[in-house]
Amino acid sequence: MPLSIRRRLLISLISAIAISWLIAIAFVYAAAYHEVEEIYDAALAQQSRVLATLMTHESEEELQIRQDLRQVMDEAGDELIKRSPLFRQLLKEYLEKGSEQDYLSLIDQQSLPGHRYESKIAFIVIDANNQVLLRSNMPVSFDEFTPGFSERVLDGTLWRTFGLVEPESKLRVQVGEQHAVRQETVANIVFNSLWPLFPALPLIALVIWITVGRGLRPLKQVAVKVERRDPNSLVPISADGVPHEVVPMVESLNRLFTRVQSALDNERQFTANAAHELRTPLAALKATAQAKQLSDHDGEHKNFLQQIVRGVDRTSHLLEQLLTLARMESQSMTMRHLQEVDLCQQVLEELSEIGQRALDRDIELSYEGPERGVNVLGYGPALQILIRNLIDNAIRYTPSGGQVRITILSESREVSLKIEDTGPGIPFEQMNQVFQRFKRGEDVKAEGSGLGLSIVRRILELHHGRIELENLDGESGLRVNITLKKAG
Amino acid sequence: MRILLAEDDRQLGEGLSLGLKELGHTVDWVHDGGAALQALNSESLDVLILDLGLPEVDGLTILKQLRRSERDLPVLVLTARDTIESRIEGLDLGADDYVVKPFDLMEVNARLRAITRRREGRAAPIIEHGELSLNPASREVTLAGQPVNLSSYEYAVLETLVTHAGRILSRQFLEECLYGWDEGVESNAVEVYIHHLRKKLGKTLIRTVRGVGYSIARPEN
Repeated sequence: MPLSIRRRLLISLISAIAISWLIAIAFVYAAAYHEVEEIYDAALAQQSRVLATLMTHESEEELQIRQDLRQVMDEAGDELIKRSPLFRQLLKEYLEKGSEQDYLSLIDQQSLPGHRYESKIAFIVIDANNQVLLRSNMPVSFDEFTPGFSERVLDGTLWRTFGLVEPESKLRVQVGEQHAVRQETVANIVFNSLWPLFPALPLIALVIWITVGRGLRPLKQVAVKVERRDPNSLVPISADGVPHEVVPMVESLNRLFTRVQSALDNERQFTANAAHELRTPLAALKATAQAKQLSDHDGEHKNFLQQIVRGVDRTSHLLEQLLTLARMESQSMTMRHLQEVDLCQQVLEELSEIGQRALDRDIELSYEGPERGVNVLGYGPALQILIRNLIDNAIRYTPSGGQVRITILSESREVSLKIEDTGPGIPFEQMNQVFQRFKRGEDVKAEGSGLGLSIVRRILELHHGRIELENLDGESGLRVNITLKKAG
Repeated sequence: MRILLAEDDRQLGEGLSLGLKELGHTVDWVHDGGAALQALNSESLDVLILDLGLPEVDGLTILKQLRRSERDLPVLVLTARDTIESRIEGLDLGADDYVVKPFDLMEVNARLRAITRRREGRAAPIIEHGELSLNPASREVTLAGQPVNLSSYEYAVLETLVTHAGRILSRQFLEECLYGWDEGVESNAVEVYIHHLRKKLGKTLIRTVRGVGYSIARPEN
């Protein structure tokens, strides 16, 4: 099944919104990433510069102290040693060892208050003699010095590092930062600024659903109007209150209705005219043949003339049926035509009119049911044609000496008219075809137009009635069961 | 009888006048409305057979003029239209009866006889049906020339059946006819009369259609 307009609009709008959001997110992410990179890089450079300055200052101071101490030793030399050999020992040790990392290094970062990103920052300071002056306790190595920004993988983690060489002291400072910190920051920024969009998506979907539904309501009203129409009605649809996008559709529908109506009118008029025009020559043929029959005293042309008369009668019957069908096809039941019709009276009247045909052929005819008082709401002349066609069919197809039984059964809401004959019945595979125009049972000897059941079906359509055909069990014969709604 | 036939179709007019002549009538055939109006001046006509679709002056106009002139001429209308509306229109304008094309010559003849008789206000002298003949005046019945003794009720039932030959008449319809002759009919009276008639006229003449009624077949030509 094709998607409804509503669903289609919903899906395409929501996907368009989602896609544009995704693109926006990508841009935001890229921009945020770039900014964060700059900030963090700047911080990294800053940190190394501060470290370098501090350490330079520190080592200059130390150098100064050492010079002073040496001077003190040179000047006070032996005297000092004499007085305190321990002091001299300490002094000597200090001067020989040079820079001592013990006093500055290994600040226990974990125990100090700070920032959670701190742990992901590491640094190392090396002097010109490749002595490590200071390093963080990160379990990583920055031994390989790289000046400027660079990225390296240590222990499976990506680091961003900045290397600096202090020009005076030739101290080399390397500060590193785990790259993940930046990604985390970027993700946080992007997520925090965009998450409110996502709960909005179902809300937007709901608004689209409702708005589209409301927008389509006039279209739906048109659809309902068309749907509820009597399928036989060709009355134009009113374009009142129809949105102007739909007006062309309604108008072209109406034009179609008009065209169909006039085509139907033409066809009906043609059929009626043709049938009427044919009546006069048929009448001439029959009158001439019958006149000849009268003057044919010695019976020389008896068979011949009888054939002509029979042929005319057959043709007339076909004409009548054609006319009836044309009339019924164009008829649509409106309340104006409806009246209460006593089905029993109609059946009895029809039987008294055409029953003699059965008697003439030694067919036993019978009726069972009430004499009057079973009313249906319908169009009298049409019901009369319906009954006549069915009884006529039964008589036609029943061989001499057979039976035609007619029964009316009145139930609470419906009335059923049953017509059973002892004719050949209808082969199972032809059951569905018999309602088609000009379709007659195969191998049938009885004469008929092949229109009778088409007419019956059309009349039943007009009356919302049903017809069932079934072959009789065991014996040869057909049962036709008509069901109509009772009036009142 | 003398018939004026107003029919524009040559073939139909020819066949019809030929047939009517064979049946012993005199036929004046005119082909259009103007000629029909002229021919109507003739005094000696018994009946007019009028086709409604005549050229020049159409059939309904002729009918109107005829009735305005208060001329009491029986008219049988031939029509190609079988809608109830068009039939009623013809009858309203003063046609005595109508037949729809294509008609049966015998039926035309029967109707002609019926309407002229009705006009003259006399019952049929003798009703013939095969070997049966009924005299409505004396209520005498003969079968193959032999007189049959019938009670007046039995006669009434028989006459109703014979005059409606070919139709199946309900018991109720027959009872209503009997009321015309006498008051109070017993509920199974019709069955009894039918039974008597069958005894006297033979079993095959009157046929029963169970649930519908009784009938006598149309006489064969």
